[in-house]
Amino acid sequence: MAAELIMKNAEWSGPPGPPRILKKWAPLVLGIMTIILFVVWVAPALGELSLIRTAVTAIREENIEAGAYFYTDVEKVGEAELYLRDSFRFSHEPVE
Amino acid sequence: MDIAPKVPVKQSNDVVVDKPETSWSDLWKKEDYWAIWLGTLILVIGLFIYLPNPPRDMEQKLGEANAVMKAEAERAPFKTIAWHEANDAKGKLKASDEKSAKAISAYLAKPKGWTDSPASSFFMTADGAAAKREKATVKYEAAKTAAVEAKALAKAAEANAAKAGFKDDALNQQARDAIKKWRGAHSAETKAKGAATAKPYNVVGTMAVLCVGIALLFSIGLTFMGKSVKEFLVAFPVVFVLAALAYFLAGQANVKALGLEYVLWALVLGLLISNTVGTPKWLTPAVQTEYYIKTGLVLLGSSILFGKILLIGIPGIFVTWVVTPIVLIVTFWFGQKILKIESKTLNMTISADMSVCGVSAAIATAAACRAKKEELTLAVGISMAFTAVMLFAMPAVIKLTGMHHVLGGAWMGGTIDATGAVVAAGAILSPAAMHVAATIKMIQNVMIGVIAFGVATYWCMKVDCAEGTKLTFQGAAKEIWARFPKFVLGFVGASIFFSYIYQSLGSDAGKVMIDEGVVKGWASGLQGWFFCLAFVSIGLATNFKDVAKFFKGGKPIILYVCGQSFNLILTLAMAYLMFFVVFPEITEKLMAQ
Repeated sequence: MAAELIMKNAEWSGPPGPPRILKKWAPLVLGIMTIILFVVWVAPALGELSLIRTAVTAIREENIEAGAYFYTDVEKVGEAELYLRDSFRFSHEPVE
Repeated sequence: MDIAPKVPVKQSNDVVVDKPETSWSDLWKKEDYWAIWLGTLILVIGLFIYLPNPPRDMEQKLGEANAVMKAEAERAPFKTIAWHEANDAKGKLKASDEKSAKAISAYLAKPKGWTDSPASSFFMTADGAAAKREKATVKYEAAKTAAVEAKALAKAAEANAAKAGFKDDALNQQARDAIKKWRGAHSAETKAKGAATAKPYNVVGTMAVLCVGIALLFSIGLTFMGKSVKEFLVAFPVVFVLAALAYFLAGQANVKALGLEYVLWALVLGLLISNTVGTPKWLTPAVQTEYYIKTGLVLLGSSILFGKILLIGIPGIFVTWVVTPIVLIVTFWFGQKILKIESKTLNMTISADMSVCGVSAAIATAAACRAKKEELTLAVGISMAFTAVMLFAMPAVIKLTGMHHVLGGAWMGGTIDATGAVVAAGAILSPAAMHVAATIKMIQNVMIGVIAFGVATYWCMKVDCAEGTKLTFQGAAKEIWARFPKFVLGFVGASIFFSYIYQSLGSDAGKVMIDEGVVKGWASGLQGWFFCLAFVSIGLATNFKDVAKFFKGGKPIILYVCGQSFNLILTLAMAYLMFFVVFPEITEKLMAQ
C-alpha cells in the first residue's frame, strides 16, 4: 500500500488538466457557436458595411442565388438566355 | 482522389514503375463505371418523366409568341409591350411545372431560404403561410397597382410613337423610357407576388425519402464493389443530415447575399467534426467522396449543352472559348515553371478553378487529374474567398470608371468564378450588364466538359506515364485507356447526348423540355445533393494540417492572384476588341430596348 502511494506520488506531474473529453468537445462547441454567431450577427453586419450595402440590398431584393456555382442553379441565367436569344432573333432591322 | 488501378512491376533495371491494368470485371467492380451506370440510370429516368409530358400546347404557344415578336420587331424600332409579353410567355413554359414532374421533383427539395426564422427553412404551417400572405398582400397590391399604372403609361407612349409611324425619335425614346419603367414595375410585382401567395410546406418528410432513395442508389454499386452496404446504410443518414445543414446555413438571406454557398458550409461542417472530436470510425463507410463526385459529374454533363455557345455570336466565343484556355495553360505553366509548385494536380486544379468557372471546374478537373481531396479543398476555398471580394469590387470599379455595361458584363462574366456571383454583380449594375455577364458565364460553364476531357487525356499521356517509356501506338493507346478516368466518358457522353436532344428539339422547345425540364427539374437537384455529400465527406476526411502542407509559402494564393490578374487583363482586352472594335453591331443589339 505504501509502495503504491510512493509510486503514484512519483508519477504526479502537476495539477490535473481538463478531462480529455472536454478537450475534444470544447472546440466543437466553440466552432458551432462561431457558425451561429456568423449567421446571426457577422453576416448581417457585413451586409450593412457602407461599401457593399447597396449591392447586398440589390442582391436580396432580386433574390439572386449569389453563391451558386453553376448556371443551372441561378434562375436569372435562364431569363437572360431567353431574352438575349429572342433579342437577336427578333430585332428591328432598319430599312435602308 | 485516388490513382488508377495499377500494380507495381519490377523492371530489369530494378526501377519500380506503376503499370495500370484493366479487366472486364472493372465494369461492375470499379467506382468510375458505377458513377456512369448510376448517372445514366438517373438521366434515363429523368427523360422518361419529362419528355412525354410537355406543357400543354407547347409548340403552338411557342409559335404564337415567336410570331408576335417577329411582327413587333418588324413594326417598331424598339421592343414593344407585346414583344416583352410574348417573351415572358415563353419564359413561363417549363416542363418542370407540369403536375407529374412537380410531384416528383418535390422529393428533391432542399432546405428553403430563410431570414429570421430558422424553422421556416424546413416547414411552414398553414397559419404561418397565412400570416406571411397577409403581411405581403399590402406590398403586392401596391406593386400590382404601380405595374398597372406603368403599363398604361407605356401603352400610351407606344401608341403615340406608333401614330407617328415610329419615325419620330423623341416619341420613340419616350416610349422606350416608359416601357423600361413598366418592366421595372412588372418585375417588382412578380417578386411581391411570391410572398403574397405563400403556401404551407414541410421538406423534412421529403428529405427523409430522398435520403433513403440516395442511400439505396449508392448501395447498388457498393454491393458489387464488395463494400459493406450495412455499414454504409448506418452511416449515410448522418452525412446526409450534415449536407442538409449546409444547405440550411447557405439559405440564410444575409449569408446568401454574401455569396457563401453550400459547398463552403459542407466543408466547414465536415472539417469542424474531423478536426475536433474526430470522424467516428463507424461514419467512414458513408464518406464516399469520389463516388458522390463522379456520379454528380455524370449528371452535370446533362447541362453542358453545346448549342448554347453561339448565343451571342463570335464575341462570346472569343471572350470564353479563346481567352479561358489561354489563361488556363499560361497559369499552369506559371505554376510549374516560375512558382515551381510541387504538386501538378494542385496547380491544375487552381488554374482551372480560376480560369474556367470556380467550384464546378475545380471538381471536374480535380477528378480528371486525380488531385488529392486537400488540394480540391484548398482550390475551392481560395476561389470562394476571391469570388466574395470580386462580387462587390468589380461592379464598383465598373461604376467608378464609367465603363460601358456590355463591356463590364462581359468582363465580369469571363473572370468571376461562380455563376451566382456573376449574375449578382451584373444585377448590381444594370439589366443589360446582368444579361451579358450571365450569358458569358453560361457559355464558359459549357467549357468544363472539354477541359475535363483534355486534362484527363493530358494526365494519362504526359503526367502519369512513366518517364522515358517508349511505347508503340497500340501500347500507348492501351496505356492511356487503362489510366483514363472512365467516369469522364460518362460526363462527356451525357453532354453530347443531351446537346443532341436539345438541338433536335430546337432552342425554344429544347429550353422548355431539357433546360427547364430534365436538367433543372431533376438532374441538377440530385447533382447538387451529390456534390454537397461529397464536400461534407471531404471535410470529414481532411485534417487541417494536411491542407496546410499544400499551402507552403502561400504559393497557391500567389498562383491564383497572378492567374486572375492575367485573366482580368486578357478578358477585358478581348471583350473590348470584340464588342467595340470588331462587332459593335452586336453591342448595339445587346443594348437595344
